Amino acid sequence: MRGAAHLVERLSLVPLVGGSLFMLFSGVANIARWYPWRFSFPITHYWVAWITMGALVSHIAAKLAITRAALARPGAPTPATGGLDRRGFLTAVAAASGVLTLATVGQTVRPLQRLALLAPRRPRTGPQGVPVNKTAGGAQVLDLARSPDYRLVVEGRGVRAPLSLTLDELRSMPQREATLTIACVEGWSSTATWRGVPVRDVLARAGARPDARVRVESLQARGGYRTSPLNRLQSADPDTLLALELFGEPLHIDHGFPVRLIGPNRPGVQQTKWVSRLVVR
Amino acid sequence: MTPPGGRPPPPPPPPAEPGGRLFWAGAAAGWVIIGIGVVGLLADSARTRPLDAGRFVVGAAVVHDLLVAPLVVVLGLLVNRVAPRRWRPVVQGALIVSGAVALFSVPIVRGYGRVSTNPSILPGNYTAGLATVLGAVWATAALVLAVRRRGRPDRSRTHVRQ
Repeated sequence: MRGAAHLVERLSLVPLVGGSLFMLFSGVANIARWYPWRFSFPITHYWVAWITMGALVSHIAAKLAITRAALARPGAPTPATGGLDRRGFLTAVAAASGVLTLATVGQTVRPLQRLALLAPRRPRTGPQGVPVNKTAGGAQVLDLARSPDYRLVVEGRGVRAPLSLTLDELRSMPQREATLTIACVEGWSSTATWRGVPVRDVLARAGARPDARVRVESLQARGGYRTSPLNRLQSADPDTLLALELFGEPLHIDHGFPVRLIGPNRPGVQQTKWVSRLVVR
Repeated sequence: MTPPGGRPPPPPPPPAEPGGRLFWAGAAAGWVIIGIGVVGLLADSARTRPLDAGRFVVGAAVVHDLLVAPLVVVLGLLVNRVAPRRWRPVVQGALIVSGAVALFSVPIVRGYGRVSTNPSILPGNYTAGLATVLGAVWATAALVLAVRRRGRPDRSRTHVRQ
């Protein structure tokens, strides 16, 4: 049985080392917007995280006895060469994490913005002073978004009177202003003042419940985030807007002109841009 | 068995091999979780491209074991050979921090993700940024050495702590 245990322990090192390095490498490349691979990053990162965590559980179980015994011995061993001892090594690892955090956290913590020497974003660098992940050109919606035939369609099972609204019709509805943050899971965030029509008002006009569950769809033909869901609380929140303006100006096309979704408590990728359709459940 | 002087016997040496109920329970739990990940990865193969993803998982481990780890060992030995004894832990620590910062900075310094149509992606001068951060790391290391020297003037003459 000793041989089998040894084999299991060794085997779990493959997913442990490979998985950890994969998580670290692909995550660092992703926040730098570098994709030297063909798989889809978020879903692959998610499943490899399971593999890595499982390997970690197995590894901890294998090393528990030896760790306990080592910690029970008084005093830490000192290397004869005078180099880093265990405590020194752990201090160096903590220092590396601390330095990297300090050099990047300014992309979301404004007071530390000047320290953000290695941050892939700056909270105020972008059109209208707000960063952009995907441009209209990159999403291939330039023509559709600028077309005079643009309509916002509201339909679905939960709708009594389906709507097809022009941009002018949206502009003529009561507008609401809200200060909301785009918080990207990639680590940056940026707060701005948005103005537009609350989603709940549009739902009410279509004869739907103001707290209906909604699927918001973009003009984008492809892409993992071309739609996003609104749950009941989000639909009912008056600050969940179909925004037409950013900092008092019409939306820049890279921020989702003519209409983008913006609401509280949503990750950045779900603040859908170039909104063309609300499907009400 | 008790040595003269009434000292307690040294604790038994740690087991060289894993084993026991705790090990097998943990290994079983761990491999179930690994299995969930593998099944999830395979079930969504249109997006996860398991062969491509696997290439990166295994490739990362191979590059680490055959290139990065030996390089770190050689560098550590070199510090022990070249640096004065008192400097070694601080120099090794500063090298660890510098290595982590430098590896993190490769894609932003090289600007692989830059897009001409999107000025908000990688807006900084990251070569200058990296130089500044590394400068601060080594300045801190020098400061630590200076403070240690002042704190313990005899330290350089003492031998290894036991």
